[in-house]
Amino acid sequence: MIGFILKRLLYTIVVMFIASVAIFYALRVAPGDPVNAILNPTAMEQARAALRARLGLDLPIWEQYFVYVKHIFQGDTGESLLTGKTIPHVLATYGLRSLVLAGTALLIAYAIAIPLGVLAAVRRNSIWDQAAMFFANLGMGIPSFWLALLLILLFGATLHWLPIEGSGDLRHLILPASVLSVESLAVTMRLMRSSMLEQLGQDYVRTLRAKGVRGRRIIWVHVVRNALIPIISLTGLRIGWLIGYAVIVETVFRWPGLGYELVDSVIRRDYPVAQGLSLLLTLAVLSANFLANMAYAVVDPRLRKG
Amino acid sequence: MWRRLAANRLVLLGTVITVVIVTLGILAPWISPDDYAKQDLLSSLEPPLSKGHLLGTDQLGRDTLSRILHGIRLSIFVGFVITAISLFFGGLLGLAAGYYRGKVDTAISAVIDIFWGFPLILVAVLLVGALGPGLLALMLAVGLINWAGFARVMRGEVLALREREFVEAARALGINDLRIMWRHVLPHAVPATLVLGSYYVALAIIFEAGFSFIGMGVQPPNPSLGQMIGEARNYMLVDSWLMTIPGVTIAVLVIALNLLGDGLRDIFDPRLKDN
Repeated sequence: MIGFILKRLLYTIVVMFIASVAIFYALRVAPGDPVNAILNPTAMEQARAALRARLGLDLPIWEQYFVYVKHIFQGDTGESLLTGKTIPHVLATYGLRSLVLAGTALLIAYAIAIPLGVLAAVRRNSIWDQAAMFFANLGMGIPSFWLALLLILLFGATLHWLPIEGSGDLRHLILPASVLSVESLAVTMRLMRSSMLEQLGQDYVRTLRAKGVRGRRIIWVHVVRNALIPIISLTGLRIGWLIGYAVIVETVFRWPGLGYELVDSVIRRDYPVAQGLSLLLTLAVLSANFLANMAYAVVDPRLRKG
Repeated sequence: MWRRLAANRLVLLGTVITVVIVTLGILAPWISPDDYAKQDLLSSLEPPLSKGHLLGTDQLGRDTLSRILHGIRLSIFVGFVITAISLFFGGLLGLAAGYYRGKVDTAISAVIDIFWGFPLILVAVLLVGALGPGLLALMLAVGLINWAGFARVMRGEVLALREREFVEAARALGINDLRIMWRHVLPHAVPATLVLGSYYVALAIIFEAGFSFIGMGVQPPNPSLGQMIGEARNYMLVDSWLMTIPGVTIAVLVIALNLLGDGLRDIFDPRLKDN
């Protein structure tokens, strides 16, 4: 188990390193100059060159990278070129908002999908089952940003029940979290249903029936518990997916989270912020994958050697 | 295969809708009633079924039906082309890794794992930053990540296949590796990759739409379904048709592709039925 963890840890470090180089390079080969965003457009060329030299932007890219890494190891993580906020502060603020959004979406998805998946499997081919699968197909097909606009139109513009953009109190969270949860809800419901069907066909279910255990008890105490295993082991991947996909949902609702800010900082060439947020996003997804692998290993001891 | 696809009504529906939409997309330049970029400010924001415009017009008076058809064409191009390319490279690497095992496998698997670890959205945002917004950055991003999915599936299939008797027999007969891979292993591994492929086409289409929606994908005046929704957002309260039509189009196309994928999976891998 320890070997397994070490191996995954090494993998995470390697990917983070490659990611940091790729991110650094991708941002700097792009046309555009952060100096233009900071200085007045009429600033003289000397002033531009001086600022560029102060920010270290006149060095070759690989040298800039080494300076960047050196500073990080010296504990100087830098600050936003545009707002002057320190990077840890930026990461904590936006990262936390994204985490709240993704976490709420996951809660909504599981709270609805798991009971419905159980119901669909137990009443297989009933009207419940068919309705649940119909909505699952719908949920996987509707583009989230379009659903977002429909909900904005309904709850924001027509009914005036909910705020349609920004963040603040809990009411701001309802629409973005619901929209973000839909795809996960549909996928989880399908997975729970098929996992339940697989478990219902197992021998132990027949044995319990033969022993005279009540049907409802078999389902909720025995079958559901086993059927939850694949859901639990896929939760890590789900979280990673939610954090990544939140970029689009955050943009629609102007939810100032990691994704929204990342797009903004890339467009405005705020290198330190874009680098920090990119690495945070990569780390979040890698950690989620790591958790998923750990969960697999816990559930299935055969994988621990891997 | 066709008879089995037709056996399930939902799958049949998905297949028929996919074929119809793909055909419409391919034929778009010839069947569009109008030029998709032609503006006519005197007849802007016309509702559907208005004179000369079956699906109405947008804020610049451009014919919605023509834009939708060209948008479908673009979605299909992105979805199928990028999936085909990543399937080709991913499949090839997965085949080599699974067949040769050992060092080849270790090396290829390491590369697969690294690409697999990257969030697609991040790759796309960075590429858009580096190359500028547009189709190229978007397709590169999807391709760079999705090949790893195909490689994983292919590798898994081939690892199991190479131990089967018929492969052993071929090896015992002295047939060379390339021929065994091409003639005996690959055909058995195609179904699983094809199933994944049908889902990946749907994912790529949704992704293109999402990215064009936030303005980082296809640029005007080229029509993309996602970008049409993005533009329609500003006219949401005046004319909600404008955002409804492309939205429904994407949803129908993606749902049809997913149903087709479910059908293919049931045919090729009956073990996974009801998944």
